[in-house]
Amino acid sequence: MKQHNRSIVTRCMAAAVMAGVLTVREAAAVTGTLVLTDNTEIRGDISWFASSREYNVSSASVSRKVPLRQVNRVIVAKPAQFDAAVQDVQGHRYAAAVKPLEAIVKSYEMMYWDVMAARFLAEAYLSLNQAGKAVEMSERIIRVNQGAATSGDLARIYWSALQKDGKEAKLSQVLGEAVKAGSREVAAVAQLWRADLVRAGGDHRKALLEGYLRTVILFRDVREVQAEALFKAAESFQQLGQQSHAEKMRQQLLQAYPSSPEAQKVRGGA
Amino acid sequence: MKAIRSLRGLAVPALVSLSLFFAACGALAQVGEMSPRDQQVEDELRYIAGLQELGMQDYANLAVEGFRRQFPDQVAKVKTAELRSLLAVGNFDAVKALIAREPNQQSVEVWAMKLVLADGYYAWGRYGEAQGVYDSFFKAYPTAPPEAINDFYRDSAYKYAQMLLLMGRLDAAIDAYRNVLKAKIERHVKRQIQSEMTEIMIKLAAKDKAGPSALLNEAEKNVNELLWERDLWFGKGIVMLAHIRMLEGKIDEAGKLIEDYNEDLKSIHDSLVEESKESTEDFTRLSPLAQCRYLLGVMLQDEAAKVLQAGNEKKALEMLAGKETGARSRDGSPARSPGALQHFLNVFIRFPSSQWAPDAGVRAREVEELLRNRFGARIVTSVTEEKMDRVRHYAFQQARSEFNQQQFDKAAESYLNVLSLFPEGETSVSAVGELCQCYLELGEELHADAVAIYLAERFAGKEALMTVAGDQLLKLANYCGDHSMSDRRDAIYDQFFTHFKKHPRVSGMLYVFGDERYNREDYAGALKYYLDIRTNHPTAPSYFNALSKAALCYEKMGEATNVVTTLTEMVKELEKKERPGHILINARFRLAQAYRLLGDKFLSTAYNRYAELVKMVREPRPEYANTDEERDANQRVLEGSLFHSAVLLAQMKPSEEQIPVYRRKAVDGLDELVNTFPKSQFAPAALNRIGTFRVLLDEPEEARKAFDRLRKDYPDTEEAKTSRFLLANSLLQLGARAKAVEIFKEMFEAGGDYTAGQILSAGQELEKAGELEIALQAYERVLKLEKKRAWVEPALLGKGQVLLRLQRNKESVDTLSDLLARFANTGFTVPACLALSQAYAELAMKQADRNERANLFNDSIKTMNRARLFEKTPGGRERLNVGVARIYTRKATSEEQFGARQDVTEARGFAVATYLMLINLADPRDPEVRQQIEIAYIECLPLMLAMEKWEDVVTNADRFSKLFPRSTSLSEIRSIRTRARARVVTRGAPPPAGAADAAPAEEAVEVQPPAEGVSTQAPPAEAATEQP
Repeated sequence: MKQHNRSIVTRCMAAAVMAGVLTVREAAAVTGTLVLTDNTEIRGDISWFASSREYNVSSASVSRKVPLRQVNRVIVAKPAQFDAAVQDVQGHRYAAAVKPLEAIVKSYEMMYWDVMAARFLAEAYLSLNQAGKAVEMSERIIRVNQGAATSGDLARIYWSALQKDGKEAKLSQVLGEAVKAGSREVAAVAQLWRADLVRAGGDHRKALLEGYLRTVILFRDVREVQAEALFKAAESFQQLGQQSHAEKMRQQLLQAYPSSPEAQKVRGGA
Repeated sequence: MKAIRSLRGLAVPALVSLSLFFAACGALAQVGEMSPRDQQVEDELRYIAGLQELGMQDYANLAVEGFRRQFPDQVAKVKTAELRSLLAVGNFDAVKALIAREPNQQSVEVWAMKLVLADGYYAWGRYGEAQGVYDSFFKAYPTAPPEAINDFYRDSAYKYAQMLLLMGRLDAAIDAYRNVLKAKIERHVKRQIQSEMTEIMIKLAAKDKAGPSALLNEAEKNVNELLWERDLWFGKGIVMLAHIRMLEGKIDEAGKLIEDYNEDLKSIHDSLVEESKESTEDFTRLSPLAQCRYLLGVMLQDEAAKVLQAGNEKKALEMLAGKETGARSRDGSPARSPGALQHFLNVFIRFPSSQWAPDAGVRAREVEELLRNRFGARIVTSVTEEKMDRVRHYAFQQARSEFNQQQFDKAAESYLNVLSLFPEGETSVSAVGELCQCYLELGEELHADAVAIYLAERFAGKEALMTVAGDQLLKLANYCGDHSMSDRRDAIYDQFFTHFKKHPRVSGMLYVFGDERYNREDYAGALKYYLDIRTNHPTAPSYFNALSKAALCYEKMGEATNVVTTLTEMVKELEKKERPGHILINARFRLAQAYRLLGDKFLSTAYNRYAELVKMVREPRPEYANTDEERDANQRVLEGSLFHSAVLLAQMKPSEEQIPVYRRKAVDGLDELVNTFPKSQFAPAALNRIGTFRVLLDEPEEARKAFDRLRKDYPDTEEAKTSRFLLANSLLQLGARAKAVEIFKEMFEAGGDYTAGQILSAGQELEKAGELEIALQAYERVLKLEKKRAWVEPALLGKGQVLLRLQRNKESVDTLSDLLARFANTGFTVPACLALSQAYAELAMKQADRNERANLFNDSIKTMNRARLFEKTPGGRERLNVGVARIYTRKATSEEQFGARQDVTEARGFAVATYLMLINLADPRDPEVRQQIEIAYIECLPLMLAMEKWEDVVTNADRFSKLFPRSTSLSEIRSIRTRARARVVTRGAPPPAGAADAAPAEEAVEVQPPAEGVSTQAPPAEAATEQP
C-alpha cells in the first residue's frame, strides 16, 4: 500500500468495467506516474513491456521508454473493481472474486496492483482448492517481478499454496530465499515456516538453529512472530531434553506476550 | 561546577571500569600529602605492576630485586610484588607455598599476601577459591582494618564486591561494599561507594516480591546522606529516592520528587555538558536527568499496563502518550504533555551514551507498537539521521564495553537489545559476531551456532555488508580454533564457504583448507575445496594451482579418469593464455602420464601426448618459459617425454611383424635421449632399456655395449648395480617371461656374483609382479646364503607370504611361526602376524573337525591380537581390528559350509560387534582410520542384513552416506539400506530368501558344546585386555 499515493494520482484508469468483467487488453495503458531513481516524475499513460523490461509512458503526442532499472516506483490509482473483489474474498465469496482479480493481475502487470490483486487471488484459489493455480499464478508474477517472492503481500500466500500443492522442495527453496533476502518481517516468518518443516521431519536441533531460536534471539524487532517463536522454541528444547532452556522460553513468553494465544496455551499446561 | 570538577575521575570508574577506579585511587593518592619517599615507593610499585601486566616477568623480577635493595623496610610490598609475578603466570602452588612458609599466618603482611593470592584467583576466573580467601580475610578483620593494610583492604573489598556482582550475588556484594566503607577512604570516594551500594540495595529490593523491606529503609537512609551535598551524587540520590518511592507504590510522589528537583538535576546535567566540552570524554552519560526520565517512563509504562488491564483506555493512553494540553503542535495535532513514549525517546535520543539508552529504545518501540495497535495512533518523531547515528554509536559502545570487560552474560543481553533496534547495519554485523562469541564463552553452544548461521545466511547476500560479515565469520572460526573447538571451527568455515562465494578471501581460504587436508592425506576432503575453487572461482589466483592439486588428489585416490579430465581442463584453460609458462608444459606432461596409467588402451594416446610435448619444448620458446628456472624445468620435461615415449613404444602391442619396428624406434628415441642429454636423470634407465630392447631384438652385442656403457658412465646408479636384475625385470614387463626367468635363475644360482641383498630385492620385486614361484626361489636362495638376522627375517617373511599366496598354507604357517619364534620382537611382527593369521584361517576353513576348526580360527585371532601389541599407529590398529572382524566373518562362512548354524550366528555377531566398535569409537579425522571405518561399514552392513538387524542397517547406512558421500560403495550400501528399509516398513513379514542362516535359536539345530578356545565373549573385550 505504501506505493499507492492518492494525493498524486488524480484520476482512475480509463479501463471500462462492465458487469464485473474487465475489458482491458494486455499491456493496455494505465494512467499514472513513474517515479525515477533520481526522483523525477513522469506522468502519462503507462504500459509495461515484459520482453524488453521497460515501461512506455505516453503523454499527449510524446512517448518515452523507461527501462525498469531507472524506475523507483510506479504510482497508479487503485483499480475500480479492486475493493469489491477484496471484499468478496474476505466475505468468503471466492468464486465471485476470481475473474476481476485475474483481470487486475493481467492489466496491471508491474504496476503495483498486480501483486496486491495476486495476493487475494491466490487466497481465493486456495479456498477453492485450486492450489496448483495459485502456485502457477504466483510464479508468473514472480518471474516478472522477483521482489514479489520476498515481499510480505504475496510471499506468505504463495508459500501456503506451495505447501497445499505438495511442493515441499520448492517451498524450502523459496523460504530459504526469503530468509536470506526478504524484509526482516518476511524473513522472520519464513524461518519459522522453515523450522516447522524441519521439525516435522523430527530434527528439533535444526529447527531451533535455523528458525525458532534464531527468531527469538535475533528477530526481537519483529514482535508479531515472537510469541510463536518462543512457544515453538520451548517445545523443541523440551524435545531435546533441555528443560532449563525450554522453561526460559516459556517464562519469556509469559512475561513479554502474556495475552498471546501461545501464552494462554502455556498457562493451560502446553 | 566546582563539585563536578572535583568528582571527575571518580564517576567514571564507578560506572564503567574497575581498573579506572583503582587508577583514580592512585591519582587521588598522588594529589594527597605524600612524602617524596612514599611517592618513590608508589612509583616503583606502579612500574613493577606495569611490567607484570605486560607479561614482562623477567624485567619485573629485576625491578622487584632493585626495589628490595632500595627499600629494605618495605618487606610486605616486596613480597606481594613477588607473588604478583608468580600469579601473572598462574603459578598458584608456588604462591601458596611461599605464604605457607610465613611463621605468623595471621600477621598483617601475610594477609596482604593472601589477598594478592585472592586477586590472582579472581583475575584467573577462579572465583570460588577467591571467595574463600576474601571471606576468611573479612572475618579476620570484622571492624576497621589496620593502617598498614588499609589500601589493600579497601581495594580488595571493592574488587570482591565487583566479583560478587559478576556472580550475581547482590546481597553479598552489599556486604562487601559495607567493608569498603570500613576502610579509611576519601570523602568523595565514600559518596561514590555509598551511591553504588544503594543502587544495588534498590535493585535487590525491587526483586523482593514481598514488598518494601528493611533493605529499602537502609537504602533511603543512605540516600538521605547523599542529599546533603549538591554534587553528582546528589542527582543520583534524587533518582534513587524516586525509585524507592516507586517501589513503595507511591508513583505520584516519585513523579513529583523528580519534578521538584528538576532544576537541580538540570543544573548537574548542564555542568556535565560543559565538562564534556572541555574534555575528550562524554560525561553526559552520568547525567541524572537520563535516569530520571527513564524511571518516569518505566513508571508510566507499568502503570499504563495496569490501568489498561482494568479497562481504562483513556488513562492508559494519557500515561503512554501524555495528556492533551489544549494547545496545538506544529503539525496542527493536539499537543501533549510528556508520556512514557516521550520519556523513553528522550533518553534514547538525547542521552545515547547513558546506560539507560538501549533499554529506553526497546521500551519506546514497545510503547509505540501498543499505541499504534491498540489506539490506532499516528506517531511522528523528529529524529534526524545524524542523531540516530550518534545513538547507534553509543548503543553498540556500551555492549562492546561489557564484552571487552568479559562480562559476557551482560554483553549478550546488551547486544540483543541493541540489535533489536539496529539489526542490520555494518556495526550490527560486528555485534552479531561478538554476540556469538559471548554465547561461546557462556557455553550456550546452540545459541552460538544459531547466531553464526544467521550471520552467514542473512548477510552474505547483502553486497554492502558481505565482506565485513564474512570477516566476522572467519574471526569466529579462528576463535573456535584457538579454543580447541575444531568441529565448530570447521562448521563455521563450511558456512563461510557455502554462503560467501564472492568474499575476497574465499578462494585463498579454500586453497589453504584444501592444502591443509592434502597434507593430512585426506584427499577426498582436500578435493572438495579445490573443486569449489574450480567451480566458483575461475578467476582466482589459486585457480590453476587448485586444478593441479585436484588432479593430484584424484591420482592419490586412484581415480585415473578424473585425473585425465581435470588435467585436460587445466591444459585447455592454460592454452588460452598468451604466455602460460612452464605450468602448461608441466600439466601436459602430467596428462600424458595420466593416460599412461589408464592402461594398455591408452598407450597410444599417452605416446601422442609425449610426442606433442617433445615438439613443444625441443626448441625453447618464450611463451612456455618465463624464467631460466622454467626453461630448465621444460628441458627435464623434454627428457622425460623422450624417455617415456620410447618406453611406451616398446610396451605397445602392434602386429607381430611390427613389434621389432616399434622396439627399434624405441631404441632410437632412447639413443637420442642418452646422446643429447647424457646428464639426464633418465639416462641410466634409458641405457638399461636400450640393453633390454637389444636383447629382445636379438642383438646381444649391442645389448652388451649398452650395459657396459651403463656400468662405465653411471657406475654409482642403481641401474648399473642391478642391471642384470633390471634387465630381467624389464623383460617381465615386456612379456618376455621365459627370457626373464632364465636371467633370474642365473642370478639365484650358487656361485653367482649377486649378493643376498640383491637377490632379496629381486625376490621382493618378483613377489610384487606376481611371479611367486621364482620369488620363492629367491627367498630360499637368500636363506641358504645368509645366516644374519638382517637377511633371514625378511626372507622368511617373504617366503611365508609367497607360500600363503600359493595356497601352501601349512608350509606358510610353519615358515611364519618359525620367524616369530626365532625373532620374538622382530620388526616384521605385524606383517608376519597378518600373514600367519590368514594362513591359520585358510587352514581352518578347510578343517572338517569342529574343534580343530575352532582351534585354528582361535589361533588366527590370537595371532592378529599379537600384531595389535606391536602396531602403534591408529590406522594400523584399526586395520588389525578389521582383520579380526574378517576372521569372524570367515568363521561364519566356514561354519555355514559345515552346517553348524549356531556357530554361524555367534561368529557373525562377533564380527558385527568388532566392526561396530571400530565404527563407533574410531576417529574419522585420521585419514588412515577413516579408510578402515569405511571398510568396516561396507563389510558390516551385509552381515547385519543377514542377521535381520533392519533398523541397525538403516541407521548405519545413513551414517555411512553422510560420512562417505564419495565412496565407491555408496550405491551398494544404498541398495542394502533399501532392502532393510523395506523390512522395517513391512515388519512381521517372513524373512527374505537366503536369510535362513539367521534363524532364531529355538529352531531345531544340533546342539554342540561351545568350541574350545573360540571366545564366547565379545571380541572387543578380548582385544582390549591385550593392549600393551
